[in-house]
Amino acid sequence: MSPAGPVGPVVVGVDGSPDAARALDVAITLARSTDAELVAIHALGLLTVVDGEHVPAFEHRDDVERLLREEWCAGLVGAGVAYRVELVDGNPTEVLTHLADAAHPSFLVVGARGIGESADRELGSTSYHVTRHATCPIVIVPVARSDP
Amino acid sequence: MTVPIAVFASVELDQHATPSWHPERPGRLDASLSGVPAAGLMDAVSFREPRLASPAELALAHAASYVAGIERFCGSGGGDLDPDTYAAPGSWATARRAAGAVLDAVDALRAGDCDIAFAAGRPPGHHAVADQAMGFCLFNNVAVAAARLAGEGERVAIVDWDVHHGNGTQDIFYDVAGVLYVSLHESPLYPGTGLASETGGPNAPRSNLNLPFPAGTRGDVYRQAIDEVVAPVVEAFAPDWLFISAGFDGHRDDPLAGLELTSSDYADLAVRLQSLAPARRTVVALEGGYDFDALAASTGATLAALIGESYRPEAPSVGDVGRPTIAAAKQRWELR
Repeated sequence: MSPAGPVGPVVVGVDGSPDAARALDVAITLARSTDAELVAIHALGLLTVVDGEHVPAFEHRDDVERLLREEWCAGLVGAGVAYRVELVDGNPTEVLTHLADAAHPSFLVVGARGIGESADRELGSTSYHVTRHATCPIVIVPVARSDP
Repeated sequence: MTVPIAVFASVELDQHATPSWHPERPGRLDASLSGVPAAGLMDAVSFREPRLASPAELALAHAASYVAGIERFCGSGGGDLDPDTYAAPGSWATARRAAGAVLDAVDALRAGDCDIAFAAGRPPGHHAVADQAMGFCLFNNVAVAAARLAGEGERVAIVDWDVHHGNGTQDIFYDVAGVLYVSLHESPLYPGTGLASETGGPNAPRSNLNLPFPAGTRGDVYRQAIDEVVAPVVEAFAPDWLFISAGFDGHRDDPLAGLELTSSDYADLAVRLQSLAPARRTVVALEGGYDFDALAASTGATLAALIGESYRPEAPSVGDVGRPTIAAAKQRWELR
């Protein structure tokens, strides 16, 4: 059966964390299999980490943009999908849920736990909050198991 | 006895122990309050210990489950809540005290104890939404007090001049007709909200005014914005109370943003806003501000101006940047 219309993009949150890297891999697979555009988003907060130091994001926007494009999303190059990479001001939950409302993605993909996020799921987890607030299908990529 | 200014602050009880690299750190309160003697205001000020807001009071603006979650999280040792926001074991008490400071400020004004009340609490509050901490904020201190007043039938105007849009305050009151939220902020900047087109929910049309200014905006344009946009909107709303969400991170020396205000600009804004509220109904609540010298000078200049004194360690700024924001707002809000 052919689809009724254009497929919404696959949106993935990225932040340089291992979980986000695996979320990006899953998003690539989904985008490739559904012939959808992939949109990789990083939410720029008040602070960011550059060269291991916590610094004001406002003063290091260019550094984050470079990390986002050249390192965190390096796997997109040659992945065989159409993609966009966006740096957006805001809290990750708010940015992703707003985008989910506005862009009607076919999937929103997030890692289970991003950088600087709380282990308390209800208070500090982007993945938890997007499941409560976003209105599109959500894929949560679980934390990697270290045991075999 | 009525004092000109009651300051609700608890520097010695500050247990919101953020990491040393964090810009929202305990020294902020000392820095802010050092502006009081610098401005020559010690005889005009009464310092008071704020109470702890109760969980029920916090739940006026937050989900009860969220309030309980913060208590539980702090009690279990705290840690990161998001990449920006941290809670220490003592943050539960300190955050309750920050909200209690705004509640006490209202009570002191109501009792006729002071002419102006300054709630100097931390962490700041205006990014906290009903069920999530963010942007350094745990509880929305101003929203808690405003919600209490609104629940009593009082009309509350909140003017937020922190450089960042107060997404939490807007979100909490977006569809509440008895609360007017006004924000002057830098855009684009964290938290990415605060569009001019956001003017209130279906039950509260024209209850939300956003004025997003570009980096580099200075005091001349902020003064004009107050005179030509904020003042007529607030006057039409006819508030019983005015809260100033006073972040001082729009100062030109602040490391987190790019506005170019000075401490004297804040003094000018404060006087203009005070005139929009009934006597003894202006609460100033500290939000952001991360350069300690700027925080001290701006606090001193603001409080001095509110009691008719002049403390101007810097000249007002002029730059002619950002006027299109005013023109657009006047058109949208049908102001002449």
